[in-house]
Amino acid sequence: MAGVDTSAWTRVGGTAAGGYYEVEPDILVAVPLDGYQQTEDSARRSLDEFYRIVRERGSRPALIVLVDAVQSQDAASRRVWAGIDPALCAGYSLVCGTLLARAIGSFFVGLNRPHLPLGMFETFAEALAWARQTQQEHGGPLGG
Amino acid sequence: MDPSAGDGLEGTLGAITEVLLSVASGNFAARVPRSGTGDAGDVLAFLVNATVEEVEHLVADLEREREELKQAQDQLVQAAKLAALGQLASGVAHELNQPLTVVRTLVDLMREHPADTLAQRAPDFELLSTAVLRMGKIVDGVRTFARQSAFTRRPTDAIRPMDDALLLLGEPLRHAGIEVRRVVESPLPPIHADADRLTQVFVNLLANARDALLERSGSDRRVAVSVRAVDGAVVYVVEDTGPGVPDDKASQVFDPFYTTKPPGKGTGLGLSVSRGIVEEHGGELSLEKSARPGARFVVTLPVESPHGR
Amino acid sequence: MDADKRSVLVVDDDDLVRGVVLRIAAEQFTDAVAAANGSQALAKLESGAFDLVITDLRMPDLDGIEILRWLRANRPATPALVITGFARAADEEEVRALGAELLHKPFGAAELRAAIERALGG
Repeated sequence: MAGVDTSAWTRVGGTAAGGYYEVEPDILVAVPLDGYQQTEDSARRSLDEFYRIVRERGSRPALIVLVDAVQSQDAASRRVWAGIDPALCAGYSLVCGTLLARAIGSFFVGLNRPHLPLGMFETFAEALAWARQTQQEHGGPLGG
Repeated sequence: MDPSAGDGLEGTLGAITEVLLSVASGNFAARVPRSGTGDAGDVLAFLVNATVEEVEHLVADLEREREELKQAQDQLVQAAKLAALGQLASGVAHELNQPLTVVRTLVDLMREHPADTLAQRAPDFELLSTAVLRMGKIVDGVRTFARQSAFTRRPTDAIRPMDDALLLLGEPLRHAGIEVRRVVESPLPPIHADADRLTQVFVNLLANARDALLERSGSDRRVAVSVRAVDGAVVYVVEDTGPGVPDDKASQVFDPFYTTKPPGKGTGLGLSVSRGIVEEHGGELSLEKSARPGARFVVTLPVESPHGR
Repeated sequence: MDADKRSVLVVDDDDLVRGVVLRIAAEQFTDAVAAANGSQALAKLESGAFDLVITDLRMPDLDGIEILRWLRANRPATPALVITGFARAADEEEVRALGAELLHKPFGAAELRAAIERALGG
């Protein structure tokens, strides 16, 4: 269930789990493949790929994650994402339109809260608006 | 319950109940099967599974932190033990001076008779042996004390920790002109204790008594160690005829880092760690007011078996 | 017949130390007498005269200092040598104030002989 039109976006990287797209300057979107079942290994690879992209670009973006496509996520992979480096990401917004996605996203608000701004939204538009704001407040060149 | 939910939801509820029963009995491996449809039942299954995983992780984190805390505590006890070793050291150095004197003078005497045969010098070799064995014993006593060990309790003779401390410090105390009195009121029940740690407590108390008594000269320098059984407990008393602890300091002596010694001479960890060790045993260490001058420390240990009888 | 007799008293509660000090002291004295503690020492001192008293400082019953004080009061002419492995500065001062020589443990035969000679006024 894609629900979001990625055709206008620039693909900047990805793994077997899905792709990273740039929707606006310094706002990236993680688009998992439909039915994605995340485990610790695939989470680590996805996060490492995100870091690679960010370092290549030299500035700290906001990241939007389309959770609706995710079918499952285990505790170990949640911990990988909760440990995201705040120096490499300005903030993290989750698009959780379905009940399952909301269930998945909820754990990031409490038990696996990352150390950077986090938002959970029902629609992509809301997530994008928030991401813009976060990027302005916390974005910037790396190493600054 | 919604009749349109059908077997799907009921099946899910049944599976959830099974999984939670498993978790209750400590098995975190159980999971609810997912339909993958994203419907209410599927979401509930995901939530239960995710919650079980989180609990599993949190329990593991807790175990690890408990282990780290225990290690930190062991290290603290070890540090205090080393500090107590420092307290022993001055007595030990004096102790070693005696046999060292014997060895040096005997060797000098033997060198002065280079023509003598080994057989002719046999009595001197005997004396040398004895002196060296004494040095070995002194060092052994200290080394045993310094060895690090984890806190383990086992049935122990109530006298043993007290007597082991007296073995280590008795001679140095007597050589310093301090009279040592030992009073045991039998019978004594066995205690469930970590003998090494308790010995450390008595070494600490005896060393403190020695330090207090060395400050004063004169012939009435005495430390008395006694033990008796009272009503389901074993009570030890270590008291000295030193200057005692002033009333306004009485509540502070067990504070960590409290010390009356000049800088570099004593860490002040001894009594606080000693109290910690006694409390680990379910007992109490206190400074009692006494009519006589001098300090009077009381160690009370409960008599209980590991099976709680 | 007693004109050549020279006697020394050795006081130390450690049996081995007592033994070796006696042996070395006996090289220069006709009689070498031992005492294992302060009260034995006083008993021997009261009943006899010595040309030198060698004593440890810290002993279970009587301090070496008290022996020195007794000597000063009752046998002021008798030299004394204190052998000790444990002496605070205050003790050392008092020993010297009481006119005695001081030798720290551990020592060897040569140091002991030299200290005995110093005590005897050599």
